Amino acid sequence: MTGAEVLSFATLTVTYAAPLIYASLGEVFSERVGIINIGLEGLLLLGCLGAVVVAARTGSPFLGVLAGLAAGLLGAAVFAIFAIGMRRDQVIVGTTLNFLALGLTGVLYRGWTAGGTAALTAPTLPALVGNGATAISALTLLALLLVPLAQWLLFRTRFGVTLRATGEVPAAAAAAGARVNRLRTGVTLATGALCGLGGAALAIGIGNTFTEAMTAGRGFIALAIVVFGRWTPGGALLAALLFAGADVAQARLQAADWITLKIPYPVFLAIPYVLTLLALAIRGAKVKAPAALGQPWQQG
Amino acid sequence: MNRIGPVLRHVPGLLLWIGGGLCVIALIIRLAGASPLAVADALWVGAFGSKYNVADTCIQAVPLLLTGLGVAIAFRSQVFNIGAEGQLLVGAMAATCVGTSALPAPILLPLALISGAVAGAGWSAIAACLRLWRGVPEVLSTLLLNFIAIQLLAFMVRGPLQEARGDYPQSDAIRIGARLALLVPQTRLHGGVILAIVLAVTVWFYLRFTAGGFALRVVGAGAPAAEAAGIRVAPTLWKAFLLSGALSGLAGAVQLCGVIYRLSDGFSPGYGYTAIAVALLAGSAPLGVIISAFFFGAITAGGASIQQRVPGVSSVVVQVLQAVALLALLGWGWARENRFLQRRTTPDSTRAEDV
Repeated sequence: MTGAEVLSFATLTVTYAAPLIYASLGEVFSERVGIINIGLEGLLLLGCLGAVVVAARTGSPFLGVLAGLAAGLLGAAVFAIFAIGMRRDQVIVGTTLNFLALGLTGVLYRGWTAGGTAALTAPTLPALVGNGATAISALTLLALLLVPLAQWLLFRTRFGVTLRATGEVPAAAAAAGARVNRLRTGVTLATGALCGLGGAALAIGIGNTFTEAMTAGRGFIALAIVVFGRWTPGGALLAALLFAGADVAQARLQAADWITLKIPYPVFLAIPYVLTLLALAIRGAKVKAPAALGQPWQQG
Repeated sequence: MNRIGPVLRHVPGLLLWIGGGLCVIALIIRLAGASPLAVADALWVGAFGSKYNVADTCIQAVPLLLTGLGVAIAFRSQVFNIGAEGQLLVGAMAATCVGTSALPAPILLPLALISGAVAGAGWSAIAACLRLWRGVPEVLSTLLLNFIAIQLLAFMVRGPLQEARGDYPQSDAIRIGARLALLVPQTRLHGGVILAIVLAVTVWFYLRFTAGGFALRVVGAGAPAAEAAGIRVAPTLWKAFLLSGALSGLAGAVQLCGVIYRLSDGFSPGYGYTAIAVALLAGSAPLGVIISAFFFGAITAGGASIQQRVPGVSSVVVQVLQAVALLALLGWGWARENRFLQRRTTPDSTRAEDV
């Protein structure tokens, strides 16, 4: 590989990692505060639709990003109402959210594009640094900058201590004055906003249009990334880069060598998932989730 | 009367939640620029419009019933197996191997179905190993295994299982002897529907009246309680994973031997995912799964007709229906609990202790 090839590979990896970083950062905070949100996939998808529709209609990718954020926020609000407000099982609510987002985005997109015949083409995010094969958008850069911020917030501030205590022993946190459900609601909404940004990064950062179920399991990979990264923002970043790198490499190998190697393409498409599973199997025994993960809290 | 009275009291509340859900769905369809009534009409015609449509509803219900049962068994023992889709696909692959083989006819069909169940259980066993030996949550592993199974299927129909002619990415059709009998002339309704209902009753009996089923339920109620009762948790969890995977694998085999006959990429339109909704709607009760499977079968059969009859409305509207039905159920459950709490004058003792 030449220097230029390495650079473009790195750029592409970071760009592909951005949606995963947004979603897994949100989930790190969620799980740390005691909420397991399986609905990441749905939240990402809502972000994709919001970003594409508004960017295409207004011609402004910036407004598209804002719309993606808002769409993710709305989806997370539904999650918060049922999982926190009504104390329903978080895995069930998250699974339902995925159904809802998949159906809703499919129905609305097809409805808004005359039966899917007039695909919306959105303007892609402009490059902030570099150009061509090495272009990095502001949204990708923001994802990278959020990681140290999140790490600091979670481990170096009083807020972070309260947040983590809430996910480990909510009763103790409540006794110390934390408003458990308010904190959890706030974090859930923030996760929605982050996933909305992630959806925008996918839909108008990497591509320029919407297709049904276009997230292709990225939300689930983000869940695995959180475990693999041991519930830390830094760990999540590394894991996200690893999986995005595998994804990019997979696409390259498929485009370049698969005929000469005689390896059918499904094998390549399975690589990220197999890798995630192997990674979990290897890390497995050492991982320890927050103690109160998934347990609803009733304000006393 | 004692038991029916309280149930009846909740009916108005349930109707309210269902009504609310319908309003939400209507609003979403309006937002997409279509008429909710036209969608409802197309749904009805697609599900119950003719003998053929009713048969179609039943055909759709069969894989949902079997996978729904699998998910329900897992949920009852607090195993969040959401990998029914992958287990179903692997089951279909195994059944294709057997169904296209040169084995003698009398054992061909039973062997195809059994191999499907075994393959499904094997696929689920991967998640069981990861959970029990490595502490990996099955919510993650089963989901990832779904994606891997989809690619495995794509590989199989382009490689080892591809049709002899080699034109398309699909398998050869399974032999006549491997096909389930058709029940009603001029429809595609097959014997799998009877098998599925019989299995649902069997699972109900197993969970309710046998020691093994009791162990599953106690483990589901909480591992410490099970240990206190002398039930060994790990073997019980293994059983939950394997039974659940076997039922989903069988669903794939039945779908192949009863309806599709040959394997290709689009083999399952997401039966294994809908199965989660089926199990949840039934509260993971095996007999309830029968009803909820037919309900979702009707919606799925109707969904196809929506896309044909109402221009501009995607068949994924079915997913919205599923999600809103589940949300209404969750909300109703919350409302019931809340009313219950309000009636009680003493504070909840366990919670008081926590605080």
